[in-house]
Amino acid sequence: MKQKIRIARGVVWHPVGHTHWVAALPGRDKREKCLLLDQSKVDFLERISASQELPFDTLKGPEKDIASKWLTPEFRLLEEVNEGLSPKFHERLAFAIFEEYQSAGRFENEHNLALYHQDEINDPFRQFEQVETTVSHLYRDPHPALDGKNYGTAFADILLEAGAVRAGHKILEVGCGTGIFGREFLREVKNRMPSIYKSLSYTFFDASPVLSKSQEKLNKEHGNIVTFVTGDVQTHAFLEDAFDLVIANEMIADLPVEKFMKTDTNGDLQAVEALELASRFGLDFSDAPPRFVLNTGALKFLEKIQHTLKPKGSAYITEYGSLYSYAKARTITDHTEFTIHFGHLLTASQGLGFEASVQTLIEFLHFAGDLKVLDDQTHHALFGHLMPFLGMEGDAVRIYTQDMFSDIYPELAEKTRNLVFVRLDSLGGIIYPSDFYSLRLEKK
Amino acid sequence: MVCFFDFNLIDITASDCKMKGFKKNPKVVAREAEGEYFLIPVGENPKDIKKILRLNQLGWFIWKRIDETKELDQLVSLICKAFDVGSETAHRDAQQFLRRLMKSGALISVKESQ
Repeated sequence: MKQKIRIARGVVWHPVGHTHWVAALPGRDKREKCLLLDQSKVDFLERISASQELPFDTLKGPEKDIASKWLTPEFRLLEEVNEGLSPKFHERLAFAIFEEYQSAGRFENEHNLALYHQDEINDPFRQFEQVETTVSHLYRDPHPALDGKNYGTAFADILLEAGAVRAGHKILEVGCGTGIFGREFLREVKNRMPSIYKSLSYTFFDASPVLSKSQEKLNKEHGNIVTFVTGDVQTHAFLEDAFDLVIANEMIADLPVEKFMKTDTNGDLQAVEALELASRFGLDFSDAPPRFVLNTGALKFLEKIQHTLKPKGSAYITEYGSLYSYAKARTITDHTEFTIHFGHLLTASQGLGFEASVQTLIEFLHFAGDLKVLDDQTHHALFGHLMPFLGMEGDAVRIYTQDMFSDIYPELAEKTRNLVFVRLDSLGGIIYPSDFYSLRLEKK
Repeated sequence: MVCFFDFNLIDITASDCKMKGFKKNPKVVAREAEGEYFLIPVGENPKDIKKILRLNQLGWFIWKRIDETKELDQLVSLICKAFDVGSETAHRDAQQFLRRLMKSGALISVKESQ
């Protein structure tokens, strides 16, 4: 027996002509995601929406038939309310461990990440707008979630306040995307501390020649304080004690990972290299699944930082991940990246002699976690299906508050029904700051 | 089918019992997260996550020492020192906990796993 029903998450509807509406559903698959509805059916949708949840058994005749149809996977305009099915912490943890285990299983067929970033990026802006959107790209313009700052500006403010950017400092940014982050970072230093700005040296280091060119193009305004280097961070011979500050923003998930097995019958770790890594970085793999993926590239990157950072110098590393989960595969359009085990990175950093600490990205950049923004499923339905259906163009690579959405798309804001806005910190996933961490290192 | 109550394999009620008769199930992951301790079975199918055990500090302490402890009395002695309890209480708690682990499949008999 069906209990209660409600509008499925993300579904929106919008009038077309005088007699009909179009309902758009979220989702990225290729199935039809827009349905044409007449006024009576929309009246029914509105009634369900107004009551939020409707007991299925109170429906009679044709409405019961329509609701039954809309609950099917083919339509998915409605969903059953499964009270008590919201996953508890231990259930989410169990599923995360299952994903860790599965990620190691699918490992063999994945791309070589180093080669992907070196050779397969052809268009810098397409890369970050259509292939792998980053948090810094989503907040590339001033945003209320960052108190009216953009991502690079907010980042610079935090580092200036921490005393991490001082006169004469040599700064290394590794994996610099389009170059917008560095440009905005330096603009903020210039605005707030012009004398410090003039004395800085800022090196953009990137694996991709295409991205390097974009960084150079976007940073002409910073004149002779900026340098651009293309290379492989894993093999590049960075000078010892060369930099005062290293920044790796949303880059380390691009570094290589390795798969290991707990091979003997007792579940004890036998792989020689894994044992060597455990010893080298002071890690304990006793909490790993029977097979697991390690962020070996990210761990070795810590050693690079240790080598090239001056004593008392600091490093800031941000990425998508978890404090206690082994690397999990995340398919991003045309390649697979792996989440970061920040617990391992923290332990390894301390083992290397760093003063180290981890914060969520929300805490680190002072994101307004309680700010209401467009729900991710509603976002998919709107930008992925409704707007193309209506022949409208929109900027999907942006996080919208209600005011921003109304300003930019007044007609949609006025006429589209069931637009849902939720707390920013309630959204999780590879483009939302809730699931990102920031590792701060200081060389003693 | 593994019978987790087969105490012929290991008599954990005897004070001099050998803890060699069972071992950790390699498909059970022990994880500390958010200040809590869990034993979570893992396999090829999400349905393999059947039963999650949440451990208290004593349970976690015992789990971490199962591999290195050969005798139940040795484990009891470690518990007495760490938790400031008498040997009778420690013995009873350890015994109950090991039974629960066997019942849940987190510990399996060495014979069955061969």
